[in-house]
Amino acid sequence: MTLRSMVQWWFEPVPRARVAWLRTALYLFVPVDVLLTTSWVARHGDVPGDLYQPLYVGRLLPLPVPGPTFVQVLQVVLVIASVVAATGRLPRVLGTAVFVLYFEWMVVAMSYGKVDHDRYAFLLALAVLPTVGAARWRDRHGDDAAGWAVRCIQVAVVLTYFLAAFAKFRFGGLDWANGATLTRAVLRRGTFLGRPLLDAPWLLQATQWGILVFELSSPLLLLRGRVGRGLVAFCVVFHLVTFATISIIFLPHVMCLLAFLPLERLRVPRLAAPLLRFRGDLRPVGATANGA
Amino acid sequence: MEATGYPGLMLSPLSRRLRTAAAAAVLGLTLAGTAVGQDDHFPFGPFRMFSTKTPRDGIVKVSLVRAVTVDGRDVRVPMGSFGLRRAEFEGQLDRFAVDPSLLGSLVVARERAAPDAPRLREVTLLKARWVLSDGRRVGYVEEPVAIWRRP
Repeated sequence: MTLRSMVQWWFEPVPRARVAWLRTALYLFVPVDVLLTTSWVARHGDVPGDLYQPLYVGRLLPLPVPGPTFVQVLQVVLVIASVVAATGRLPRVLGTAVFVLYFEWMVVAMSYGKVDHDRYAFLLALAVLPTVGAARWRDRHGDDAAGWAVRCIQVAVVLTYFLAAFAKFRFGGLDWANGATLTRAVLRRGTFLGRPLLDAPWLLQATQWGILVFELSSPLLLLRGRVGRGLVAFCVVFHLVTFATISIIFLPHVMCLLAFLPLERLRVPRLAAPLLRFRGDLRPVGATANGA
Repeated sequence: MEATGYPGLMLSPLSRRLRTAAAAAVLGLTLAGTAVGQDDHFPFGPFRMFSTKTPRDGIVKVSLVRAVTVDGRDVRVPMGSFGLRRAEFEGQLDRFAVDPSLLGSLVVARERAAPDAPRLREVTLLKARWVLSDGRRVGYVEEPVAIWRRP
């Protein structure tokens, strides 16, 4: 593969409808994430400032030490901005605002002694979605700006799995899979479904090998057709089993798996038709053409 | 390449170059993060979820909080009720050991967030260890890290 064809691959046109649906799904997921699934972030506002250990980026930029008011205001503004952005209106301005606000939300989340690794693809998605400009649910036309953004999200998902294997080699050693890491995971976080596995250490060890093989084969997600789709389905199952056994789920990351699906084939239900007018989806296409 | 039907929507050469450069920069930072970075370099740090190797004859550490309520009951308190996740306690265990009054500040935060929860007289942050032999549990010990008593 030459460099030129690789660049070409990165800009392969994708229907703008896919970007439109991704915006709807990911921007609507922000309030779910902030208020429901990782609501612990907001609690950091009540924690004494002494325990704030800002990340590198938090020391680089003049960001405030989170207090109750700051965290509450950030939370409300972020939720409102993302709900409005989900309508598809002002995609560049609102999309950029959601990215910046969510990034600061992540600094608040990860600056207290524990960093999570389920946000990379999601943050990247929030960063690239505004670059596409106007996109409608029913716009099946392919365009390279949409293609670039979707490709970026896909690559970020793959990197999260693929590079996780190399992190295991770096921190755990090449024989990581022969250890008892999953035993540790189940002892610390096991559910009633996971705990019985403690009596079958060989099964946990085999699973460790399976995880490595899966992570190293993750670039196959980028293949079209059955192999790619099959692997997307496998990823979903993998995350569900992880949740059922050790109560961990990379939800923001799982949302980004949507970038692999032909969302442009989704139909707008009749009931939702009034939304089309509100979103500006009914105006003639040329009127919102926006390339850069 | 698929024709778009409206050439005005294709990216200009400059836009393409900018996007290519941005993607290359992010990719470079991400690879560097995996090779030499740390969690501190979020979001470019290594994807180190469960990346350390627990020896099959090693130990598994876990921290927990036990407390005595003002009416004298021994309880185990979910760590999240203090506004920090367990892993966040564990990331800063030495700080609690040096300054147990930090536990007191967390008790205040907890009472603010849940005024109806039983009030605590004494709070102990402990580290526990499971001992493994060939991947199976063979022992369990607890050891206090920091103790706070209501003044």
